[in-house]
Amino acid sequence: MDKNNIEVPNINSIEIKDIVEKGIKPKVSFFSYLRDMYKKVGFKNIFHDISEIIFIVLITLFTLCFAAIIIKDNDYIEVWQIYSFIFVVSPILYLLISFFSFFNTKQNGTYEVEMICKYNIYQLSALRMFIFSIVSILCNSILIFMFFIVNEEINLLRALAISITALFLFSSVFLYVLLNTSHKITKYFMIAGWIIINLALMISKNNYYNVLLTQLPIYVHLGLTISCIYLYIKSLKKLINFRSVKGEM
Amino acid sequence: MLLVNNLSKYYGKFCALKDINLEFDNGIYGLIAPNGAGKTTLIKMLTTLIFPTKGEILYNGTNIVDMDDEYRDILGYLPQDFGYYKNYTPTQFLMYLSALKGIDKNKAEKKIKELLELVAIDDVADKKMKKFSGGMIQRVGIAQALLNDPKILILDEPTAGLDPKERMRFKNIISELSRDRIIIISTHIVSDIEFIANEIVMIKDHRILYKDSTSNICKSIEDKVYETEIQFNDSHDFKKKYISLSERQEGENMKIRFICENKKEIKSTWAKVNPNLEDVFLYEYNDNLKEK
Repeated sequence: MDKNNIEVPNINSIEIKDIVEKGIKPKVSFFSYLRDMYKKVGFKNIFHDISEIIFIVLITLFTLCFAAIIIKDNDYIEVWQIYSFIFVVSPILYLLISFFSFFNTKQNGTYEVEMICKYNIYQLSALRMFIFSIVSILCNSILIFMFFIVNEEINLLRALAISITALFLFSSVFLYVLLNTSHKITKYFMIAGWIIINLALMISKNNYYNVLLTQLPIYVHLGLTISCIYLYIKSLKKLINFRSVKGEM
Repeated sequence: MLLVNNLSKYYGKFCALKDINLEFDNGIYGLIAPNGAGKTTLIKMLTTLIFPTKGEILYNGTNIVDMDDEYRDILGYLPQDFGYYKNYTPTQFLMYLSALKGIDKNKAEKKIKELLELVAIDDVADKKMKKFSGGMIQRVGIAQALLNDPKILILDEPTAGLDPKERMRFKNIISELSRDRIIIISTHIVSDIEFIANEIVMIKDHRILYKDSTSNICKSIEDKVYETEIQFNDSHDFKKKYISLSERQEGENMKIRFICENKKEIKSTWAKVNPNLEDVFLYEYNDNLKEK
């Protein structure tokens, strides 16, 4: 056969385009995916347990405000310890709501039914956690503002950066542990570890910890915050595509 | 078409299923095996709740894991332990699941009304489910599995908790639906699927034992099933020798249905009977049926 004269079947290029479009799933960005899911599922269904969530938010806020008042009345507490307190407690609200969310699904035994839906538990959790993190930032900001009102030595921007960094750093590690280990003990160890290590550093008045929270230039803090947000979004993307090998989280 | 290709599932060193090959076209398939044989493992892999250690499952040529949400879009599933939100009404719960399935709200409202009528719980559509009986909950479970008009419907022990009338209604619904979809029903209640299933899949020792029509499977023990009357005092020795399938009292005696594998032992007083699926089930999984 003459290789310069190969017969090529007459295929309509529009048809080819059509076949390719049907065969290949269009790539959707993380935020567009969340937005589409939000539109299709609706607020009422995403937060079908909204009353319980509001209850947890109010209880946590009340407890943290109470702790803040005690700190304010204690003359021996230094500014860096307030920063440290913010660093420790910032992820607490997020942690409580997220944990409740998984616990509730398990308790009701709806895991299997919800897992085979178009938007399964992991995808819905990614959206919920994303919204929880925004709610947590808002609540933490209220708490920080309260600290600022009673103690003007606090740098508001630094405190906010510390709070957001703590929230996203903890959330990223939390999601990493959730997706990569099936041992319950590791999950609890990680949560307890965050609180115990930070409290120990705070109580022992560790110098490095002090410097890290108070002396580090603000742009380094903001850089860290952005890195942690990036890590968190990456973890949420993984959660969307996650399928547990054992069939349960 | 749903194709199961050389499927194996291991949990560490434990083998739950080994070298499973199956083909499902539109129709009803009964998956029967005793507890622990690997039924639920197979169902969980067919629903992508767990993944095979080896092999693959293809729907119309595409791996169901790669199909991801497209596969879940055409899948309906009733799990063995159907969970629900106790404070929800059936309508609220089905609306919630419809949203997760990406069904438009108006379409969902219409579909839910239809389904609640189909499973005959429309009169309690707005009552909280915490007061429901097991049978009513199971009917909500069947309704939720049909929400997206699935092309593949997988039901794990669907008749658990249903009374005889509800079982009959369920069989009629399933027969009606099977014309244009694949329906896989896992059960150990053989009578539930014996007459409605196009094919029966039996699993033994983590492998496929049969995948055939009920009549062909029953042929495997043709000429081996008999009935006779014996005295109660003789029953212990009799059951040591033969596999007892069923027993009932007939006056002073006991009427026993049993398996005799050795033709030389057949007695003229015995009546040969046509085997049914339950007989095959008991024969194949007879580990504890012979008295010691």
